Amino acid sequence: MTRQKKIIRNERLGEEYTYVKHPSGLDIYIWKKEGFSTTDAYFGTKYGSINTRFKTKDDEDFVDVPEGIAHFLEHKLFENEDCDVFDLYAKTGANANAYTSFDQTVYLFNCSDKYLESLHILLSFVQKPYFTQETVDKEQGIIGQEIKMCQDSPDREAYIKLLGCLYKNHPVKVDIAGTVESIAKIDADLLYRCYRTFYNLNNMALCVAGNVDVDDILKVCDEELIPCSDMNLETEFPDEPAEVAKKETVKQMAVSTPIFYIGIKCPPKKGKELLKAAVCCDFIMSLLMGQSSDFYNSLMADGLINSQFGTEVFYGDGYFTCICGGESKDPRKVMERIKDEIERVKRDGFDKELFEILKKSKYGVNLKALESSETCTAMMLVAAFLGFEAFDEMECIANTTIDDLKKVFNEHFNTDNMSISIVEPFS
Amino acid sequence: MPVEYKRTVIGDGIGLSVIKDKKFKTNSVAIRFIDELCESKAAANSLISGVLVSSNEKYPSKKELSKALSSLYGADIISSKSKIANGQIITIGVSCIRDDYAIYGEKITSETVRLLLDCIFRPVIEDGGFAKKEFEIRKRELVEDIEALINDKRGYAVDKTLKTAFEGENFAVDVNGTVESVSALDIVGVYKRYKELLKTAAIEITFAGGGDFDEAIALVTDAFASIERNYNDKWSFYDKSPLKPELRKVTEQLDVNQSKMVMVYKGGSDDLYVNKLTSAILGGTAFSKLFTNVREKMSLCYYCAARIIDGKGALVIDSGVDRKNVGLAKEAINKELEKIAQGEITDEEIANTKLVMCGNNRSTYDYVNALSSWYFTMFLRGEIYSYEQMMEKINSITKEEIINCAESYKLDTVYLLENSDKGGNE
Repeated sequence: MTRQKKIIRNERLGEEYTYVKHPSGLDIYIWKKEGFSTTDAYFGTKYGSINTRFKTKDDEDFVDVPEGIAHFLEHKLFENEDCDVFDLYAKTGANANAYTSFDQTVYLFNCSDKYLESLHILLSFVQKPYFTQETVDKEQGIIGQEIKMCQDSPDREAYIKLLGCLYKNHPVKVDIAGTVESIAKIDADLLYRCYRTFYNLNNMALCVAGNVDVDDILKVCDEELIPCSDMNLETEFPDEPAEVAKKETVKQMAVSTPIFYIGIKCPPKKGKELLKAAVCCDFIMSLLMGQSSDFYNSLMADGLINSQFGTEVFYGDGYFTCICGGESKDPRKVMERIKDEIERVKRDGFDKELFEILKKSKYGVNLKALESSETCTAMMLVAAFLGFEAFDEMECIANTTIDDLKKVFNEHFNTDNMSISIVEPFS
Repeated sequence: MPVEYKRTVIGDGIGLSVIKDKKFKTNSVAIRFIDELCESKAAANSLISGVLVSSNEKYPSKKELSKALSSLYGADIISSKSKIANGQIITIGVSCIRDDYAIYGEKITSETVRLLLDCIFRPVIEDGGFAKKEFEIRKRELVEDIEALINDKRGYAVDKTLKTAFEGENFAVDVNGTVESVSALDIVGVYKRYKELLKTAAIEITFAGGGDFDEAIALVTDAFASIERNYNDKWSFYDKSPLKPELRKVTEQLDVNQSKMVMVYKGGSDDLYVNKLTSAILGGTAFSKLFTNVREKMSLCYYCAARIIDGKGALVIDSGVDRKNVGLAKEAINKELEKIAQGEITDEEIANTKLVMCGNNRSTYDYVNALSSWYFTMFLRGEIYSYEQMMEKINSITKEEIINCAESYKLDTVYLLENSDKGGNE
């Protein structure tokens, strides 16, 4: 079978990958890495914990499903009708896994041998759901344990509670695994319904990186992929106000020093506009409070933070937030200082010399990351689901100017739109 | 496999290894000091590693150093601490992109290595000790790091278990030191310890990556050739731990939703790879006995994994269990080990586990830092194998050897972290 192959190349990096739109509806991305022995494959659906309201051309109206169902479905797909998926992978030597995030569910493997056999397994089991009420009931216990275990992680608790402060209605405020109560509402019928809606190949992507052969991969795809017709899937989110839902939340747990996250809620964006805003905000966070900034070093000298302190730009369908966090004996003081610093930079402007240095730094850091076939795989998947190409981020970094930053900073960094989440030791 | 490996001795107890594979876009250099792991030195050695990577004469603050690294296309400087049998390993390292990826033609690798050497040989000195400002920040951070162990309950449980299982042995000493021992450190004393470390510790320098590092190798060789040495070989890689005369049980209460149980067995084969394979068959893969039976079929644990401690003759199984299932889980875990000892393993289980082990070893060759640690650890063990030799070694292990290995493990310590019924408050 001949396919239209599109080569996506970046001269600066000397790297390229191949894109193929498969007749089954699936988008396929393959990145050949000469000399490497590891192969990484991600088979993912654009379906995460936030997609709890949806509609296809067969539905009259939007349907609401319980929180945590995407993650539940991920667990259940690992069981075939006749055997456990891990038993199949055992014969190929691959390490297999899966994860659910806020906006995607991904089934993956990495191996250094027999990648085509592993690919057969991956494509086959994800397309063959099998659950009964009995196996669903059993899984409720296992996931209940997982939810409990996650609640023992103060860092995760602080993070998810920050999202709860920032977002009033958007489902990003709920833990990916849902709650013990929400998963109790899940049954086999609901799982099949979500499966049929989101595991349509038109809503999915396959990304492979490693020392692989494009045509060999496509041959496996031809054999395994079951064509799907496009169901015009629509997802919807409740209206979300621009303002934060709550300014502060505090929880007591068995920790040594308080753990905190601080978020600045920004307006959500899509496609290339989203990428530009994400790149700008990443620069802004590094300039404001990265390790090379005066501000970071003054917080450090005053004993307010330690090396655990870090920043992140967190975004997806309907949400966009700049986050920083770490450990501090006085997190509220850190928040106050950040607000003052934002106001100061609004008056005085950014450090131009540092901006040029950071541009070089981000180029090097991204180049380093490309050495891992896993990173290449993940980059292709994220780009595919958000509507751009894997190299666009690097190019966007190279083309960003200090004026771009100023614009985003003045528009988005509103100190009234900040929340803080603290996990502190028992008093 | 186009990997070139070569080690040369460049001084008294100083080795320099070069691992080159052109496929890599990056280079890394790790300088590892190996000292005896003991109470009197651990805290100071650990603090030294943090202080060294914070500044040097040319870049006298963390901010300036960090800016210089960013200018070198996001080069990294890292420090880490680890232990192996009765040795403490302090690593100071850098990594950067290869020169041919520089946009403006900079010699990135040599410049990054110069910066590293300045951190080691030209730290900021005031009044006969390290400079106060950075020293005090790193000291506070180290204390906070030690205290923060409790935040990760799984790690905390394993740490407490190992301290109990190896009580009285060097291995029980914390690589970071304790809150008390770090708090008691003073600037001049730590600087003296550093001088001593440079003089007496074993030093292993590893270059790994895509290459173009001849100039950087010469810089490092020159810098280390001129230091005063009195190498004192006080550590050894093998320090087998004796089985306690009686099983030790420790229970600790803390505010946790899920109990953590950690079991330590002692014994094992003299052959490292037999130990590794046995442990992987028991609980090192997603089709291992513990994963398939204790986690999946019996639903007793959320996680339940086995690993060995190299050089100590110990097998560690750590698990996350619902409080009501602790007794059942313990029994089930013991039973799986017993099954292997009684020969209840299929040829398929063995072959599949070997396949995973070989595959994972091969993946190491795709990551610069993993490759650097891989060769360093093999050097410590005194046996350097190529990937093919390693594969041959693993594939030649017999069922008999696995059975004997499992049979030799005896339960030594059981640690349990359980809920104090305090509950989280909001």
